Amino acid sequence: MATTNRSWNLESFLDSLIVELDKARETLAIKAINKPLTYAVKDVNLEMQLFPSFDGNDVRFVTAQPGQQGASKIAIQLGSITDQQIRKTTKGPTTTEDVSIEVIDEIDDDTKKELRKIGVTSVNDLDKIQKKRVDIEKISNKKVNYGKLANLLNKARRTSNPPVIKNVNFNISRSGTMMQVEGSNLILDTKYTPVAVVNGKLADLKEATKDHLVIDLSNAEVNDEENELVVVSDPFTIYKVKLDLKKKTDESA
Amino acid sequence: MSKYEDEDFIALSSFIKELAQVDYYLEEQFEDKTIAAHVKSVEIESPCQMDVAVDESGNVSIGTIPPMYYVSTSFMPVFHNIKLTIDTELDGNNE
Repeated sequence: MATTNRSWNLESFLDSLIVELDKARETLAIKAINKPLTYAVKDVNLEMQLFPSFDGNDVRFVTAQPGQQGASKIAIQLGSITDQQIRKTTKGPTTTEDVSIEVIDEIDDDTKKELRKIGVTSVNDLDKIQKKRVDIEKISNKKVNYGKLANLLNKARRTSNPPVIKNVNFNISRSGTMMQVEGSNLILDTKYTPVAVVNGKLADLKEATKDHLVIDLSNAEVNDEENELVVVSDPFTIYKVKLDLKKKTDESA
Repeated sequence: MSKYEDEDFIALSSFIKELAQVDYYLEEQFEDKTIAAHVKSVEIESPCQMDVAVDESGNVSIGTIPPMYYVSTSFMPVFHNIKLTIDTELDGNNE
């Protein structure tokens, strides 16, 4: 149940104000389908009597009640803006390959707040800042440590895009024995060198892409029954696969 | 049941829609001709009472209404101010 005279923050109020204005505009737009003469809301200017309060982190407002004196006045002006202007002045939404900082529990609220202030809302935003060699610690008054944060964000990005193995093939020929692994998100970050270990021995990784791995088994011992492949693709991802050759052969036979 | 303190309050969108109801022609007969005129633009500035309701999750609902009572009382309601500009749209294009 909604209650009045409870304090609210400006963001929630503006969200609601914009939704209300959109509703009114939508109705007028529907009316325009059948009526040649219609009207559109161009600007809304709202002046409100409020009592602001600041708790050290957030500014909140309470609407002045009857009989209350000395309220502050806040004026909100909403003008018309075209879809092209919106595209020019706002960032696109976070994509499925990116991770929003809001969903990462390991980042504390203060750090999230500092990042939002400097326009960083996702892992990709942070990457862009790093590429420009911006000193993020200096900007955030040493509240944000880049190294620690980058690790957390990369870990979160990896968690939301786990490696998936779809198929493993052995290719035995005179030139050597190769293992081909097919799947998705096998290698995500190319700045790390991936490592493959077959039956406890380091194997030569010939090719490593997002959906394809080719491992040279010339130096590895391949057993008829149980084989184990371990791939370390980045500091946050290790995947281990048990390969039972005999069983597979039996099944296919 | 209204989510606002006073059930006479309506959502801000309904309030704006009511104010935008000016889509008619003013017609006048002159000899054998009819002269018609329509409102090109309306600028409304009005005091209004507002009820900002907040639910448990912090979502805000804005209720509003023009001043309801005209009698002076010891506790006067708080009057906020709303200013709207409503423009003509002919066949979807701005004039």
